[in-house]
Amino acid sequence: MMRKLIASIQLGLEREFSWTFPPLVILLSTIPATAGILTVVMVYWVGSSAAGKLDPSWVSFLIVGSSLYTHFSSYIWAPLSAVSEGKASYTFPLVFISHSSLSYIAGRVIASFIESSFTAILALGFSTLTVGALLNITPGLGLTPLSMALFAVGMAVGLLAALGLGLMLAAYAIFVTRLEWGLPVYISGILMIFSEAIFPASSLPHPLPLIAESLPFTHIIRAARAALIGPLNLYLAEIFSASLLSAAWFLAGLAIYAHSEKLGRRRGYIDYRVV
Amino acid sequence: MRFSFTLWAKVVIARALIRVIAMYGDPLWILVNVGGPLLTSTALAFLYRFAGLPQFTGFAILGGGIAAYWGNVLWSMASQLSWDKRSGMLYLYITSPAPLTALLIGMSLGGILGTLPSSIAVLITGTLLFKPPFSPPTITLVLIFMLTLVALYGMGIALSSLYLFLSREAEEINEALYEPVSFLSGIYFPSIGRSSPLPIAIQAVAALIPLTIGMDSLRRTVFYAEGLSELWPNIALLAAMAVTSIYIGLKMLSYIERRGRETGDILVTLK
Repeated sequence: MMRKLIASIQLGLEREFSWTFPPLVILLSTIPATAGILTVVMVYWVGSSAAGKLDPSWVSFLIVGSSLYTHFSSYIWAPLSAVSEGKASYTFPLVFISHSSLSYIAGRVIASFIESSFTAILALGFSTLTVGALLNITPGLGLTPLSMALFAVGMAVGLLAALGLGLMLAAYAIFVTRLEWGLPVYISGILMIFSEAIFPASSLPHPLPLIAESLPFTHIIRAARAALIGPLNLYLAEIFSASLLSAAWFLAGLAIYAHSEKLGRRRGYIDYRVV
Repeated sequence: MRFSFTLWAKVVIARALIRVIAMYGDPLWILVNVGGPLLTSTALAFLYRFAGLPQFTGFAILGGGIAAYWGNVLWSMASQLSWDKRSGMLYLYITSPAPLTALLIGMSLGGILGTLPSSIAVLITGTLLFKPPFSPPTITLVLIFMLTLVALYGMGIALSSLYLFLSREAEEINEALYEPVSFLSGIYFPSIGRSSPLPIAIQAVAALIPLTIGMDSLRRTVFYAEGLSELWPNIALLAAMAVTSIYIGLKMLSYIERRGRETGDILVTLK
């Protein structure tokens, strides 16, 4: 199992980085991530300035939330892509026959997570600097070794949640034969609204905040904010909620994928060509 | 080969029809295309509301409507010939008497008509959800909207000829271009003018992108009820940008096509 997983991570990293000069891959993904964060900050800046309610402390709230949102949304689709691309190129049926599809998918997610983590941390740094230069403010981020370590723990917990969600998407990809990329777009958009990435969940109309509370990503983002902006005493409670929810999502994803794989094997869906 | 306008027009119509039939014949495509811009604009409309100015939610909704087109330009125009090259379709285009320029104009026309339902769906859903104040539609609005689309698809034509050289890089470059251009052109917030939070130097760079001028003009006519008398410099600039981008795009394509026919490298799949 471990050897299969490591081989899949290597394969995933090869796919992510080998098509060009690796630092260029990181640069090409950091630029759009930074631009996305800047868009969110500017929307807040324009709206709150015109309303006369500008509070620069919210800028760091937006930078941290958007960075993590960009991180999640850029790798949750990796399992779906692994299955659908694999079906189109006939590699997935081979993975499937070798009884290693689960480690293959997990490896691809971990590889995407590694690339996306570099991107998220660089985008966090670049957007903090750029916002400072453009708006002449200093976003109040405490970038100490401890806060960065706590931030990294949040990202690791996020990997478990994203793997759970990714497995559900991979299960879906086993059965669909076209336009399968449409679903992750919706999921990314829903996460943007409900994960407290760019505004507090409490500002959503009732009962929508309940959805936000049930997402592990909301708690991971809150924990990351507690680590980087404060107050630090909120971190423990949020990371605990995030871990519990992430474990639940992971187990649910695992169960759904195992069931779908069994069904796909029995009904022969694995050979369906994506068009 | 002698230029035949009839052939050129037939190719334009045929290529446009493929897009239109594919889109309107399969409502799932509309559902898939509407997701990204609709949910992004909804999230940003919530952010405008949270920032204390619910009237500005319209900026996010209008941005979502135009973002549908910007996505279509990148994914279905700019990278199309590169995909066609990889799938073997470009061989058929090159060997047939169909002019590539007509194919691209047809693709643009089909893209504009095909993206219309997604764009309208974003605008209607956003309006129903947030009820932003809009000024009544005017001829100026229609003119600006059409010029913005022409300029945008002109950019798509120019990019598609560049992307002919690329393979997988085309997708990565699309990913890298989408957000920075959206940010600079102010799809969701005013990036130029008095309300822009950006420094003048960046506003000057942003103003070189046709989408920036288009978005600024659209916002001013939709939310501030400005008319032809206030917006004529923008309209003139947008018209000039539209003509220039199409001209440059078609010239580049003709050059690459001619060079590719001579050297044979236009059909080489790099990776």
